[in-house]
Amino acid sequence: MSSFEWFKEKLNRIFPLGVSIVVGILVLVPMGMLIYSSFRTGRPGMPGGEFSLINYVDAYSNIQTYITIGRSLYFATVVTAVTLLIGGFFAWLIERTNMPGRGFAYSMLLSSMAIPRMLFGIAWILLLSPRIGLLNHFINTIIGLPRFNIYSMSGMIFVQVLVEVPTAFLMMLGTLRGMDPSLEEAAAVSRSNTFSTLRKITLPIMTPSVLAAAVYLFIINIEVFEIPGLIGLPARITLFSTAIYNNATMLVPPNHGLANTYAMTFLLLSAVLIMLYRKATRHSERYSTITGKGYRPRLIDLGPWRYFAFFVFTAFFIVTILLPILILIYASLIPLYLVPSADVFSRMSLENYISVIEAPWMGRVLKNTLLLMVVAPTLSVLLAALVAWVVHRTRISIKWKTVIDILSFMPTALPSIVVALSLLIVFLNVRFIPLYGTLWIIAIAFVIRYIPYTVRTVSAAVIQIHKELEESAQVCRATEIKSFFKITVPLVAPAIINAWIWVAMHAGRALSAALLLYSANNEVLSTRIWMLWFDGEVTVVCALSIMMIVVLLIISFIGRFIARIVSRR
Amino acid sequence: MPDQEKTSIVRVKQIEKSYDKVHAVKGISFDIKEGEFYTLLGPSGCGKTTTLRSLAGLERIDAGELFIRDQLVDNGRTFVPPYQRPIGMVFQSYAIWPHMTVAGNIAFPLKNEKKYTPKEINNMVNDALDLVQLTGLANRPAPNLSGGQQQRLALARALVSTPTVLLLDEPLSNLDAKLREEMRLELKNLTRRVGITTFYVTHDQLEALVLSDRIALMRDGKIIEEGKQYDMYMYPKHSFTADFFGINNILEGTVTTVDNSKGLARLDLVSGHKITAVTRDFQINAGQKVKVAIRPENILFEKVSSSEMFLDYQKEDVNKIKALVKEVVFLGDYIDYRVIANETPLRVRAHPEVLLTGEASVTLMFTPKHVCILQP
Repeated sequence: MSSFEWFKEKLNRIFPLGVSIVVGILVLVPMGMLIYSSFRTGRPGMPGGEFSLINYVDAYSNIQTYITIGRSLYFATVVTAVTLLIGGFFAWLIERTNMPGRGFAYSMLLSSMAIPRMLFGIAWILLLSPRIGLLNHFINTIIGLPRFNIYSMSGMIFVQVLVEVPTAFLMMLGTLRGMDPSLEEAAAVSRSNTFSTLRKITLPIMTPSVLAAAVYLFIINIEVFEIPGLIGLPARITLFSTAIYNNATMLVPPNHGLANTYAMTFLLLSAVLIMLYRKATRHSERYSTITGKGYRPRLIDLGPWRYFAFFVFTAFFIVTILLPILILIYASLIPLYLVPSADVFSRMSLENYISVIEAPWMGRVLKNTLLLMVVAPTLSVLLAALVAWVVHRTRISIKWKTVIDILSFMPTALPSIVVALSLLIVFLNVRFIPLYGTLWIIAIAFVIRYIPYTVRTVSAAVIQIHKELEESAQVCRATEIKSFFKITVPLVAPAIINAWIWVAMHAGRALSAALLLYSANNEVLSTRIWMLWFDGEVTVVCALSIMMIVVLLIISFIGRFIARIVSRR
Repeated sequence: MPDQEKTSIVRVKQIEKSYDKVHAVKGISFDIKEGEFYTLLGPSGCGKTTTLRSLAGLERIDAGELFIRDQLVDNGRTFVPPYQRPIGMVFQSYAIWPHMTVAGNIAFPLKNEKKYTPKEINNMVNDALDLVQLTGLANRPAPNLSGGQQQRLALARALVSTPTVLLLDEPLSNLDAKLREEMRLELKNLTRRVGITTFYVTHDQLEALVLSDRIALMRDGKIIEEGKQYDMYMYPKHSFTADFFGINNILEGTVTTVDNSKGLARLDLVSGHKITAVTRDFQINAGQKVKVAIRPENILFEKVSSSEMFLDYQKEDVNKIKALVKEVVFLGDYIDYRVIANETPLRVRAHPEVLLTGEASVTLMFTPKHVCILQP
């Protein structure tokens, strides 16, 4: 064996270790730093400071902390319950009944997920703000009812419910589709009527996966930043995520210690939830009811009610998707946000768009956004492919695989804002790696945050590919790594591209991490919109929002186009 | 065939392999001669596939030595990876790459060798396609082939880079019965025509018999018996071999006399019968307890069977046993008779014309040659 081949052979052995170390560093170092500095006084990266429990004492001797925790739990519980009910109802309508226009309804609900949460929040403020809200204006002047104050807990819950219904819908749809209709049919021929079948068969079988969906939605709702930030911050109703944001960036000087302690509480809470989630999904395997596809269950005849169902659906679509988009477009065309009138319509122009395009920051912000939308998903997907290779294709011990598996699942318990905070602390401390304030630090935050998703997606695809396909490549004189990238990767390309698009879309719209790691150099569209909004540039924000939606749609279309070509090949 | 004079292409010496807690291969050794078709036969989980995969370099052995044409490829420390071994392999699932064309699949190993021009590769691909009778399908997407065609493609891909040894991992098990029979014969003809040294792994005794020059029977990580395919079937030495190749009549007894000049031994069976058997190439002594195996198709019914066909059955030393027919199972190409001789159940396989009814009294006949004394 030549020394080059010896080196190659060694590389083959060291590679799995290297990949695990990278995942370990990405997941454990920020978390470790978070824990470490929560027990320290002083500011991160500054000399001085000592070990103490003062941060915890400060936090938990303050009644405000308990109020924040209580509020967050209340918010998440109510939103989860209501979205599950609405989403479950819609899923049932689309999957199991003869409501007209089911395909249309399905694509409508999905398309709304392409619009960033933050923009929904802005649109609803424009509609329901007590001062400038258009809907409030009509309710008050035309119907004569009192104005609804969106700057309240119920306002936040209302908007968050509307934003999160499509996610709940998708999860419930998966649950319904995974159910073997023959179980219900068996009940039906066992002299059980529709109602008792629903109660005694359908619901018990669905319970574990509904529970899993509930936990998943609860985690989303407790970590969400956009709506609590846009509505709750001006109303001085802080939740977990906004409390961290406040303490880490809004206070002068920032109180990293307290932000840190909140983040720790957050982390603990989501860790417990994640364990519940794993338990719920593990339990659900016992009920695993997926059967051969192409077996459509008998549709339930709603009779004349099916038109009513369609009406409800259409009304929901108009209120939750069409209205917000229309209001954004309307506001983007006028110089000052006012109730529509002949005068306002006569002054409509593209002035806001022109000012945005000509703004000195536009080039930089757009470049940063696009760069982030390319770098973050590419790194994520590459890492996921390597992890999938190490776990499923190399001869490492089961124990080692379990370690990697747990490591790559852990970020599920890390809300974006916690990841961002911990990276902030890491790079304030580790000055010799000059990433603080760069776009890279945001990209790393997304890579960490989305490891569980990308690893799961790519691994699931890799498992589908028979191992012998790769082994036969090795027998045909291709090295192990070459075999993986020449055979398996092309075969799982559609899954990889889908994961790439998913991360790109999330990176392009996500606010909290970018905001916490914000500096003049790494500004992106979402943070610029946020800043402009709080500067009161309402109509400019709307123009920028519409442009952002267009950019996101274009990128997702290009991605889907490529995915289709690749999977057809 | 004077096997001893041919060189050994594959040498397997005392190899060991464990996974976590399972000791899959427990120190097995064998040689494969040049141009030989060698089969590892055994039930699932006996370690045969592990042995083949170790030879391919898809598994690393824990101890022992593996040689391919005098090159040490694995001894637990030195390890030549699969992509540097002079092997071709056909997998159980064929492992045809679905994102490539037929030609793309065959060209892949040639391209990896980096010593052929595109024109040479093209010619070699076409030759390989001709060899397996897939001429003209070069540009077909690989998944569009039928099961049998995929099988041939896998063979072409394994043979195209003229490997030293061809490894076949149960390649026929995914085909339906009719196609399997066809491919079995085709595979035999192809390997003989090319003259390639072949290492085959299967759990199907019929496949092993049809294809192999030599068979090694494995169980629990060890080779139980090795021999030429005819001998393994007709004259097994081990009770597991007898059982595996479908001998249902295994009887116990004691050796009374051994006549080495005639090559005959007299036995007293536990059932009370006295029979004669030919001696084997291992030592047996008078007074020794042994087991014997008698194939059900080598037992005839006196008077009923057309025994004139079998001259041996008319010799003096033919064994005769009285028995009672208990059950008649008609299986189409033969009749399976369950008989009782002195309370000992025996099975006789007879031509469908030999029709007896239940409770018939019969005399069973079998020659000493067909009584296989098993190695103690």
